[in-house]
Amino acid sequence: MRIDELKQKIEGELRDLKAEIEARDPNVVNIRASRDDVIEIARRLSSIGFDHVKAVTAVDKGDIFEVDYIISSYLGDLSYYLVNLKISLPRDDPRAPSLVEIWPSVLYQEHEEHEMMGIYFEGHPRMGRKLLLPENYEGIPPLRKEFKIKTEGIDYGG
Amino acid sequence: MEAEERELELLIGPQHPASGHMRLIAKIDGDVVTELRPDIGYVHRSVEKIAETKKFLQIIPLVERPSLPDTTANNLAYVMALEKLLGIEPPPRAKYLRTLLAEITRIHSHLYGLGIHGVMIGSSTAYMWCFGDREPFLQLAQELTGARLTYSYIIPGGVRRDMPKGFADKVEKVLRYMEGRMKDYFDIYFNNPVTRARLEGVGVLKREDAIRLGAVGPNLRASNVPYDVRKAEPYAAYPDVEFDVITEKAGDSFARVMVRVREIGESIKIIRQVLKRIPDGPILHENYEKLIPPKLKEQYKSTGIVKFPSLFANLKAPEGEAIARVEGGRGEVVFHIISDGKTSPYRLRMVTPSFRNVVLFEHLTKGARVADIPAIYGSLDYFPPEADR
Repeated sequence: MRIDELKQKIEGELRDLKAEIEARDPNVVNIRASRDDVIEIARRLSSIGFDHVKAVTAVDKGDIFEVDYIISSYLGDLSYYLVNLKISLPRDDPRAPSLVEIWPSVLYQEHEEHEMMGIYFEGHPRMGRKLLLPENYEGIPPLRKEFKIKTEGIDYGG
Repeated sequence: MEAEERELELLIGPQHPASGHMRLIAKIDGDVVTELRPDIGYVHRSVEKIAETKKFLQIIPLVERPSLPDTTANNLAYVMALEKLLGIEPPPRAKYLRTLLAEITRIHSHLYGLGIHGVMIGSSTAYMWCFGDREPFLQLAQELTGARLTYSYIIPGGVRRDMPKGFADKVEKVLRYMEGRMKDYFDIYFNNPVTRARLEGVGVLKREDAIRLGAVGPNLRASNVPYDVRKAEPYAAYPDVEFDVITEKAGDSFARVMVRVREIGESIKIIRQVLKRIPDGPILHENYEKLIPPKLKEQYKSTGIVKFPSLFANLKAPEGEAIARVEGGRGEVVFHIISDGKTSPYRLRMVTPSFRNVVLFEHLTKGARVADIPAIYGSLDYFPPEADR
């Protein structure tokens, strides 16, 4: 299977949904979708053999947040390919449906992006609890750009 | 008087219960675990946040540190993602050298995991032997890279050093020694009825659960899923070498241990092929090589050691995003870098095998005996700093 064949297959699967699909050489298919469709898209990707999520990346893009799911398969030809499912969320309402029911492999990663980026994954069983941060941490989710860390810098002398 | 029946909460850790700081919160009914939740984050070091303030080259040691026994995988996966952004491919010799170090590291990382597991189930012999036999591999890596663990050997466009003279012979000597030792390991430890009793049938991970939960590395392959990034999306010199993807059917703690043991044999096979077939030529991409000032270039040609071209310090990655994955000792390492064209990444996502595998603690311990917790924990080759990042 070539990348454009996979792209066509995914386009066929998601025909009735609003999703921008683009192939990125050599083995990544990007799917840009709205949060209202993401569960259905995930369900259909799962039904054609995409059986796990490798990474969940939340990105602070200023006016919006983006959540990227990097999805693939452990079996057969599909294991060479990665699907990067991207959803954009408004800054003042960073909610997205959790995909944990479809892909349990996102359990810890959605949790991490929740506490680090302040994304609320609806339906995720551990929202509001801490994972990596200290229990008593309060304040801006640290991966947001407005959270600045102090750097030591280099003293070049003179 | 009848004893009150109740569920107890058992706290294991967080002061270094096994391979690093973490806590396991177990609910137990008598001797049986009813629920166990890993409490992680004690060694979280904000790699992803710090990376946004560091230059691309400075990030190499940053991403290596959390996975101390297996730094090559992180180094390689990060540099591969960066190279995708930069649009460069290392020369063939550099690819072979990357595979060489990756496999030396895989062997000593597996020995580390097996040793820690040994001591967790009470075999100090396994611990001492594995750690002792890890040493020759650390020394090989040191001779190649100049460091024992944190190699920072792989740089954009190539590697930092060429093979020293006579290296291949030394490697062969170590490989022969290790092959000889394997028999002892089986006689004393792996075929020992006590070891078998502690591990067989304990912590069984079914094939469909391994896939569903997104397990990686030997833990996945021990449940009969033949997934290995080196085959799925071959990188470095892996397209040119022959080896088997080791799987086991049982999915229990013993199967996970066996996958690691047998993978040492495959790594030995790969290293021999690499040393036999390694092509001559440069170890750094010509675009970067030509940036080296004449005097340093002379030194590089005579010693095989690259001094960074100063331009590297302000390396900019073009706008875009890249994903790279590598099969490390403990499993798949994934890097996702988003660049806005500056000298630091806009966002760096680093997903390590231990973070992918942490979910297995809660899954595998349900219904297990308390005494099986260390047997299961150890079999996962879980490394807390790697999970926390």
